[in-house]
Amino acid sequence: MFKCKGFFAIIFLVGIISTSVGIVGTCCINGKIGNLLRDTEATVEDYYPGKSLIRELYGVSSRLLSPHELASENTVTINDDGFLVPVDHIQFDVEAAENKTLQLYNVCKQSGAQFLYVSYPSKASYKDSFAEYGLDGNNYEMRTTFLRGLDEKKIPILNIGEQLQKDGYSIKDIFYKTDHHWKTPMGLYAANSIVNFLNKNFGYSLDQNALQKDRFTYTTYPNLWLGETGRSCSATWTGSLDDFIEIRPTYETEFVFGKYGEETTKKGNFSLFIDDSGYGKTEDLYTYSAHYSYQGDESLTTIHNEYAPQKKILIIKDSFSAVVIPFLSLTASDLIVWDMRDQSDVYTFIQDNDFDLVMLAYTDFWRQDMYDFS
Amino acid sequence: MVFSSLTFLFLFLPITLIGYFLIKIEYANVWLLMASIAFYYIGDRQHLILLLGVIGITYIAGIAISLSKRHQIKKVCMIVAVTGMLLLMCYYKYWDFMVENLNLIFHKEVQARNIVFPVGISFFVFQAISYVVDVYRGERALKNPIDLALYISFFPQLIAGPIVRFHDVAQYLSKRYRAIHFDNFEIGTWRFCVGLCKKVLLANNLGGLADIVFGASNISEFSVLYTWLGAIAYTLQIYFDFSGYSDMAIGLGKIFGFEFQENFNYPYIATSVQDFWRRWHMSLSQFFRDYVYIPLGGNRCSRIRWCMNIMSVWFLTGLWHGASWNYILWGTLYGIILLIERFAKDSHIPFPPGSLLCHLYTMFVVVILWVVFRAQDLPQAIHYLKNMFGIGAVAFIDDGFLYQARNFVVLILVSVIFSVPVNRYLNNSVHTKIINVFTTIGLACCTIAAVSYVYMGSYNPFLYFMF
Repeated sequence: MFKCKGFFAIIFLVGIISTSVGIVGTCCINGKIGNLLRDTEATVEDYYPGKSLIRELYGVSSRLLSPHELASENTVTINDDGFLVPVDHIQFDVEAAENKTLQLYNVCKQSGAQFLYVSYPSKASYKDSFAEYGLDGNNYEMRTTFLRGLDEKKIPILNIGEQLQKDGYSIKDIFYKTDHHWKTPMGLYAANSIVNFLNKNFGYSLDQNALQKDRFTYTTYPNLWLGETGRSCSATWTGSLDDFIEIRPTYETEFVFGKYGEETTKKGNFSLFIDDSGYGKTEDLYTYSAHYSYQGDESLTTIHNEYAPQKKILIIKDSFSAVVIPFLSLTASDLIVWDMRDQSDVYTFIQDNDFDLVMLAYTDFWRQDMYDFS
Repeated sequence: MVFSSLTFLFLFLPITLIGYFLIKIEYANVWLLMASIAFYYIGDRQHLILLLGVIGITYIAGIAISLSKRHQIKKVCMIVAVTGMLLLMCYYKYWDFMVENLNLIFHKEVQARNIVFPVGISFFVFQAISYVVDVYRGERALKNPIDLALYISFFPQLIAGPIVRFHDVAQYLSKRYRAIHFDNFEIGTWRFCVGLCKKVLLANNLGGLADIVFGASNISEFSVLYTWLGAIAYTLQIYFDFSGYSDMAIGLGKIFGFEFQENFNYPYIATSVQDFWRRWHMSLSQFFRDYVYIPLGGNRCSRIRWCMNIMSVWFLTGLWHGASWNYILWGTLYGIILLIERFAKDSHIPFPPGSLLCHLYTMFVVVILWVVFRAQDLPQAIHYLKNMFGIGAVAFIDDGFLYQARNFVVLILVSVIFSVPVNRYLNNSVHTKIINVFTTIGLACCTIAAVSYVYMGSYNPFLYFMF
């Protein structure tokens, strides 16, 4: 027994010392030794040698131990076909969010802008379907309470999740397997829903014809990427990667991109929204997100469409809007993007600009501070 | 800093090991003390002064006791030091709990201080008390403050035990006993890796299931079987978590030349509650026996007094685990059950009869009382227990249970197998060489898997923050 134990001990000692030397050495070479002292655990993780292998080893072992459930910071459950569902039992003050949304609504009203709350669905709140995973999620319940509260306060709401349900979309039609975001065609669907709602209820004449499904080309890139949820459990654990559908309009477009408050602008067509440089780069599996290959949702971005009807819209958004904004910008002349995670006082911004519409488009209750508008 | 972290495994441990093996044996204690202080500083820098303060008080008390000629003075020194340290621990652990309860009783609104727990306070204060009492009882006081500081703050057992009594390790603080042996290193490494795998692969994964059920806002949404599954998952989680941590501590101690006593001896094969407590957290049980139960008179007193002694010890055991009524109830219930068992034994009543029934009875009590222990508060404990027995539950069985049972069946089976002494059985029945090879390969694979779990930052709860 002792021979085996001795061999094991030597391997262990050599393993931890060589890993340690590798980490410290790489930090030294990259001039990150200060990080190692300040934020040790994260730096060790960053410079750990053989990261890819260790991730996949994790995938194999966790698949063996609990094939459907992974308890990490965000609990994840998986169906037999590799569909991941992040489940958080979120502590969120729904009433405070309602009141803050009402304040924002009032500020818009006083500034002469119309207001619309757009509710995007999330995997965790699309239908009340958690029981089938044996989980006790509270997102659906919270969302229902929140939207009911806004409705009682007479705030206009567009519930895209409800529309998707009515149209018979399943959770797997809407969302990626390994990512919490929705697929690109859902961005087009959401843009269509928004335009339809605004034309119908607010009397706008936005160009809905520009969003007809058959006026776009659809290119599917199979097994292209591993989503953010999948990254927390490895590609081996998820078993497969996600496909990505790139959608481009078939008709001519012309945009002017800018940054609010800056003079430099960039002119071009719809292609400017799409960064396809990461397609097929497997070495970036744990950093690359195809969802964000649709760009233009960076805070304070201004998008001017030469051909669209005159409307100036402010969209206060989260990451789901990355695939909504490009399509929405096909229908209105001016779109300005705002993200509460990067900016603070949206009240002054609204008062200083002459918006026709302020749209608050959020998915779920990830962060309470995203409702701190001033 | 916990042992199951990248920083510990790939920075702290290698640096400490290299330093320890390179440094002259005369300076080994200084090096280990520096490492221990760094370990505590990284984990809980704001309370490092408190740890050093406890070391200081203990050192002065030990010297004062050993220098005093008169027994009365020795006693006074011991009582002052022990009371001081207990008050310090009580302030950090129980002040807010006391204020909350006094507010409830007297309808006042005194503000709680929201005191942050110093990591490992229950462990290092108990070790300091052990030292002072042992010196009072005749053990030789340590003249070298570095040796004493190392005894109290030695990083392997600093934050989660085992509680090392001074007279058990006093000899190892001397360099004579601490020559580096490869045997110690290999046995210690093996034990450390076993503990790491128990903690990371079994306990943490089981914790995911237990937390789903115990963390739910409404227990009534779960079926009867689902709540039993949650309770069983927690029963296994706490065993593998705590015994895994003890294994790592014992293994690290061994690597650095210390022999810590065992803390767990397959408690889930116990055939009575008394037997269970002889096998579970043995260092705590022995501490309470040596420093509370026996000084109170033990069983050499009247029947009533003895009952009171037992109940006092179990009340304190419950309270030691945390400032909450469910811990107190948990401890007190154990006290009552132990008394009943003892009375049954004294009256020659088989309680319960038959070894399988004995085992089932013990596990039933243990699982039920773990529910009391794990619940967020007393009302949730009662609610959970009611649900387990079908009172207010939505159903006996539901899809959620079936889903999770299917999901966790392998993990639970593996955990049940490793919670019994399977290695003893294998050693007796299969050729030793084959076993050696397979266990080595198995442990190597499991260690790599455990490291991958640590790297991926998977669920890694620290259960002892209340202790």
